[in-house]
Amino acid sequence: MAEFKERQVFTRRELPVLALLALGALGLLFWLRAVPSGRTAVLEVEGAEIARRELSALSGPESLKITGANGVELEVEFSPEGARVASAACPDKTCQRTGLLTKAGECAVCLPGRVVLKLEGGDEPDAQTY
Amino acid sequence: MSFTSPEQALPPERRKAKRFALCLTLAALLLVLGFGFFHFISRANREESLDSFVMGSYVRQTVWGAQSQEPLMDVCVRLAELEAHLTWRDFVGEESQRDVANLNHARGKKVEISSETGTLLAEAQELAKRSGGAFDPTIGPVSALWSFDDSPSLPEPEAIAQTLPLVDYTKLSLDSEEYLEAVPNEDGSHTDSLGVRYPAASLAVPGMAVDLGAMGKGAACGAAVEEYRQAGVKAAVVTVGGSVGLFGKKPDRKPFRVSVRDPKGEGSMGVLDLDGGFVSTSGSYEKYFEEDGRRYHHLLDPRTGYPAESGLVSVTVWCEDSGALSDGLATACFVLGLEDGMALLESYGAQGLFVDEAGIVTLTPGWAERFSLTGEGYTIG
Repeated sequence: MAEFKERQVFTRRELPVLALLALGALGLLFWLRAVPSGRTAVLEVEGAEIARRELSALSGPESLKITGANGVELEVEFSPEGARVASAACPDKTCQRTGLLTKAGECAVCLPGRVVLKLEGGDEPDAQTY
Repeated sequence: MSFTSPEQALPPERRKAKRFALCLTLAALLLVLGFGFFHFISRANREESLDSFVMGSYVRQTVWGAQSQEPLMDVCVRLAELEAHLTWRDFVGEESQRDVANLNHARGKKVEISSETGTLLAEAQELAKRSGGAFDPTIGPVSALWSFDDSPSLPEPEAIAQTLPLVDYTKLSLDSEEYLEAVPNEDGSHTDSLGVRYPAASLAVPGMAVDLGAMGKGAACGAAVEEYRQAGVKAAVVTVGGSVGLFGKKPDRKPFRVSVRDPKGEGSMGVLDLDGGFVSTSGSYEKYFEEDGRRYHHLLDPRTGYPAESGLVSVTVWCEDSGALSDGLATACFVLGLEDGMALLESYGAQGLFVDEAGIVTLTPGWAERFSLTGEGYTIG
């Protein structure tokens, strides 16, 4: 028995501590995988990011007026529910008609103004067809 | 005489300490190897992305396994060339590149075109034939009247009636020639295969005009995927406007997830799980204007000259090999309506999703298990 004890790398007293550590590590891993990452609204003009909002951190709607390429003026609204182009001073208004973006991976694009509003997040699909 | 190992000669405490040190060293070694392996895998699977505006569209690229942004930049250059080939506008690219614009201005004369444009025109003409004219690449004169890309307005009925005879895909002629093509095999060798290319085209009647707008974004996805294949990347997703190209296998080996825009509301109506190929959508919600209380959308029926009234609001189509075809089929199916559209997809071995005005979603059999409905107000038919 004495010889068996000598061959042990860890003593019996150390084993519960190691088991707790292993359980803790596993728990942390599962927690990191299970907690969904928040949705972030990203606003870009001609490929350059000009605003970024973590939607869950917003307490209420926030409005932002910007001027895109070719002098196209847009008003973008961020809220805990999502993000949208509230108004666009261009003829087609495709971005405005896209409506409220609520899921990661969705985007509204103003081609004349070269403006992109998109939602990023952990469960983002790879692409959107429209 | 008994044999004693040097370790056994040590006192028990020293032996224990030595083993503990050995374990620590092994753990450190494993950690270093693990990090090295992780670094190697991460580098091999590195994700590169690039957003840009090319071909009058928002282009989004995500590529796995590229060591730099080079393949993504190459795609931007390739798409700019493709735009010059396919546009009917006179100010894009060099004059010698403008295949479609030159063809439209040639007043019946034969024009030399790039092999890329030739292949696309042949594909478009075949689709026109198989759809009974519900898709027509010579719709240019009618689409110019509606001007959905610039300042849309309702044309006079007389103007449409006068222009409609100019829309006729059978009067588009393509010169064809066979050539030997070296097709690469998986083992690196090549096999000669007989291919067909179209070096010249002509339009029979002055005033006729080709408009490949209904295939252009899908064709761009096809060109991008060809670039990714040549660059040897592991996987890629490219979106050109609302058309999507999917290539390779992602590092997590999971299918690509493509969300479908909600045609009646906001956001998306569902998600498709796909292993590759090309996806395009044609919807009446994307471009439209209202006049005298009536809505006019941009999906024109080449047979009437007016926006198609097929009872559908959106059609999404998947093709395995051709982005241009997925795009053209989506338009053709929208114009044809559910029943004829389904038959057309079957004839091409393509898959699709049809949404009608009542919110009924109809899927081709191959998509029954691949589509998850998330939007409200829809039922699977």
